[in-house]
Amino acid sequence: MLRMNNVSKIFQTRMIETHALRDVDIHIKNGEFVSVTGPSGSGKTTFLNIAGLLENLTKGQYFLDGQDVSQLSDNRLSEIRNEKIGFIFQSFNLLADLSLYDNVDVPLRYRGFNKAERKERIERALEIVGLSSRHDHLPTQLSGGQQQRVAIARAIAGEPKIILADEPTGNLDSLMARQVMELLEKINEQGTTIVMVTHDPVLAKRADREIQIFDGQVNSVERDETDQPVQTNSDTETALETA
Amino acid sequence: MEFGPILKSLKRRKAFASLIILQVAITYTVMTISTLQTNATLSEWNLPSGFDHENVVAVSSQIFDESVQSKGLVQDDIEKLSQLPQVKSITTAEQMPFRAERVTELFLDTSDKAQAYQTNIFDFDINGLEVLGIKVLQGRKFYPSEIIAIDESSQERPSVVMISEQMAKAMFEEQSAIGRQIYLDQSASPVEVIGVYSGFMNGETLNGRGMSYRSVIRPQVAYINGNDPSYLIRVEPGLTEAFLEQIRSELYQAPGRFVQRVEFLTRTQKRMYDGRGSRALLMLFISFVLLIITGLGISGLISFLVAQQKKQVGTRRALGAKKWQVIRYYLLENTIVTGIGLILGVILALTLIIILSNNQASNFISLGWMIAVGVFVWLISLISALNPAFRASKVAPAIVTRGA
Amino acid sequence: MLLYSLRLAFKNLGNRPGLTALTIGAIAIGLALLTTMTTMSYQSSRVPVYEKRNQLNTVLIDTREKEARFADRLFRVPYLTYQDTMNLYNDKAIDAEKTYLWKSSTFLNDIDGKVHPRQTRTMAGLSNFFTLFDVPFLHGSGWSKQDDESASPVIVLSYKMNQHFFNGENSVGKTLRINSTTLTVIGVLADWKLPARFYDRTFSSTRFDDVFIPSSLAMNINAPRFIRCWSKDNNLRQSYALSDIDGLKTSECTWMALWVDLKDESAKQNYEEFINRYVNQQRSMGRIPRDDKPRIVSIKQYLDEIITNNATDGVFQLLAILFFLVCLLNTVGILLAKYMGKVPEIALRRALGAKKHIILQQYLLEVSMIALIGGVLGLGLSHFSLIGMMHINIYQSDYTVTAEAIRHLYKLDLVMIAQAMGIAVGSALSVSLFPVWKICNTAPAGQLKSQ
Ligand SMILES: Nc1ncnc2c1ncn2[C@@H]1O[C@H](COP(=O)(O)OP(=O)(O)O)[C@@H](O)[C@H]1O
Ligand SMILES: [Mg+2]
Repeated sequence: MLRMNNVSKIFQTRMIETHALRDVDIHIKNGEFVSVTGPSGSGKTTFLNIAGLLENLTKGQYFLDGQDVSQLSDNRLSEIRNEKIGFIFQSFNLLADLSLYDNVDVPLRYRGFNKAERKERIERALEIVGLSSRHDHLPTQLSGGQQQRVAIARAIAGEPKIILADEPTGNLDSLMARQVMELLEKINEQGTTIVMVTHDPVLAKRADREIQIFDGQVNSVERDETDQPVQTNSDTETALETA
Repeated sequence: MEFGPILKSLKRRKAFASLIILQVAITYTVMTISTLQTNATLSEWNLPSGFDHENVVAVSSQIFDESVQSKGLVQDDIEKLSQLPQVKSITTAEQMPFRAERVTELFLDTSDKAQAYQTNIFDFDINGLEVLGIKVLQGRKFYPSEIIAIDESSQERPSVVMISEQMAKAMFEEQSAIGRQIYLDQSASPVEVIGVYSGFMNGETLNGRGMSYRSVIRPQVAYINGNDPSYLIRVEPGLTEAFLEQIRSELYQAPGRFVQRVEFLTRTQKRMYDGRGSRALLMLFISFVLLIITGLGISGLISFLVAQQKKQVGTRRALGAKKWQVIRYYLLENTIVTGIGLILGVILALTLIIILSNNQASNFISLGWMIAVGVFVWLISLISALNPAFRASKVAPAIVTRGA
Repeated sequence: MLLYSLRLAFKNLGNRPGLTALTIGAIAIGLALLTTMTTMSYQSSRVPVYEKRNQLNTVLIDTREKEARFADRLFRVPYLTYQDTMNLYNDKAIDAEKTYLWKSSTFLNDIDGKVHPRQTRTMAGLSNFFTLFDVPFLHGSGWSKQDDESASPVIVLSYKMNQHFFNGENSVGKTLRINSTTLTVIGVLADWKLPARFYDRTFSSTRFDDVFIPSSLAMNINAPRFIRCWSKDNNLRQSYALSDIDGLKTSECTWMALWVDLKDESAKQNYEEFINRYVNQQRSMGRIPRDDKPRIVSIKQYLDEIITNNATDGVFQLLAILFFLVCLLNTVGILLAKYMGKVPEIALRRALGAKKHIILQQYLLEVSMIALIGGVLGLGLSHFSLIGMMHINIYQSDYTVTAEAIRHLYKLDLVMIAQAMGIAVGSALSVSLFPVWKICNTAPAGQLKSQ
């Protein structure tokens, strides 16, 4: 499903070069549920952004669903994001002006589905996340967990092949976090590949496989292995993003 | 397209939407009122002169000393002025193009029921047609013997006249005017039309009644004491104020007279139009300034909104929006808002025009212009939105994960 | 706390200076146009002879033929005929000071022809013209009642004419000619700052009379009259205007203005009744075919009526107001957008304990500051645009008016300045009050959550 060969990402600012990823080789199979862990600033988000075609890689090769995507035009990238990828973010990123229904509708419109098809898909997605009774609510009228479930509905409505989630539970309390996790597992069971960045070692372990990133370098860990380095949750970055 | 969602999200930002809507509405109103007014003014007043009016000097003077004899003075003036090397041709002139005021009524017969045709009569001597450079369309010019000099005691009056094309059309429609008898005064004998010339702008009075080119040229020179000696002079091209000053001082050689005006006909023409014209143009200018301000305001407002919606835009991009779709979103939003503003503007403009014009709005309102102004305002507003929309399209989708 | 808000407001102006400049610029330009228009109409609606604005009244009798178009505007109401003027002037039934006058155009020239002659706007009237209308003299004085009766060859010059013919020296006792009649200068006016030439009912604020002579003299020397006649008399108009004064005196042609000094309301009412009786009596003798009521109109009423009917100025004024409104919305829109961006910050600060009114206060301070700066700039601009309008006026009138003659119509004064600043700040505050209030009311919790 997803294959990165020797991928590097360098952020060039005026003063310094940051090597966010160094010669990363990653292979994620179809239908896998992979968690990504690592200390703050180690390059997890960068990896996810590149995987989700939100950022260009500096060096290396990247195949998504068998297609080399490192040289595609911006428009083509948008199309692939729209069709094949679903995103779930730590800060939900719902469009505040739009109702739940319209939020889920956004990617479907870019997809060009007709009205009936969109309606059907939106309703099914909201059903899956358990929010079908709240179509017309605005994001501000929901709790964090509910908002994240809307985001999940939005991510799955287009039936993507892969879902990329960047700390989807980072802003949620543990109960809600567990609900979200269960939802993701349910989606994964339907065959959707899921890549999830998380700080929560318990959740990370529930995935099929865990990828650890340290200082831009990957070290893949099988689920059965024990004694992994455990992340604390009092990460400075998390605190900042909440503010 | 995304009308539905745009409308919904506009509803959530009513304050801003209504600010832009109001601005557009008022700007449209101001532009429409000034355009319609300018249009009405200019189409009514900025008409062609109908003759080669450059390089013609108009002179008018007034005798205030009762002992001065008109005939001698006029003949002296003509002689002195025609000796100037710059002068090509000169005529005495009772009434001048662009400022004829005295309106005469012409008749085709002497009955009480005869229809009156309003006109300006211009008295020129034999050089009149040459000075104005008017083309004779039908018939002939005057013979020297047909020029009649009149004074207090003389009884003889001209027996022939020429009339302008437009006058001929008004009186005789498609028939030929040549040889027809018309009455300049129902109590005197009729005169014969011997020629038809292409009409020239007569003056404000008849222009205001939509009869800008109706005139009669009568071959008559008046030497009546108390009359005001006036001349039209065709001169060489390229002369300046200095030449006018020269004429002025020539005329002041003879005492007992006030030289009222020595000017090129271009200035006479300008005076006829400018009071209204410059007012109208000033209005137009003001409304353009307003449009620019509105444009800048819209641009500023949208770029603010875009700056605040960076994360939203990034989210849309992450969810699959292409760059042009982001641009389209903002332009569409802008068009919807501007459109509402324009609809409001049309209502406001019509209301004000109807109130202001005392129920004469129909003379004023032109659908074509109203639409044109609307399209123009919309275009300006679109252009204003273009820059911020482009900026929005450049928002990197990665922003969604970077927590900016 | 105020100081703190002030500092924050200043800091806010400094970020995104382009937009701050736009908001200030918009206010400045809008205000400049508005001030230009209001100043022009304010200056041109100044009341002449202010102290007597209510007591000096002119008599209006519509003596035209029955078919004439209804006089819906004051300028369409004719002047008085000679007969009516004399009948009313000589009537002793009501004790009030009266004066009559008419306008003419003559040629003023010096006997030896050293100075070019001038065509002069001429007031022909009575000796009490100068006292009744508080006319200021520089040299000499007006003529006497005796001169009225004997048609003495005397003339009063305007300040400007005295400059032209005598270089501003005291010319009393010197001679000049009107047309071919020699007259002795008896007085020279000071620079008479008359807001409008009301007395001959033209209310022109740009062209003033050059010379003043006794009416009896003007008739004797046959100074031309501006007359309106019934259409049946139109062929006689020329001779009535230029030569046949006796014919004119018995005709229904109109050319004279009559003013009556009526000290109070009851005097005015009395006089109105008197005029009504007079008109009815004339009607019974077969004159005055129209049934329009005669009127007594004071300077003030006359001016008010002219102003309300001036449509073109109305349009301009309306456009200026709309223009300003757009500039205002523009500014407020941008400021609000700026504040909208700060909603999370505001919410946070409110969560941290800032009271609603503190935030409101800060916003209002910022708006006021922009309005003030814009206001000052706008006043500066309007000074220039007024000069520009003056030149446009001079251009429009084809340089027949001078800057000196009309400068007073384009002058900013303290009243206008204060009004402009008031409008700038007041309107900016009032327009933005409501939306800001709403923004400040956003619940702190909801805002913190959604971001
Ligand atoms: N746009 C950027 N410009 C410069 N440096 C960046 C940018 N984005 C991320 N980085 C840097 O790249 C490194 C990896 O960041 P990131 O992938 O966000 O880490 P993580 O998500 O694991 O906390 C960090 O050192 C970060 O400072
Ligand atoms: Mg991260």
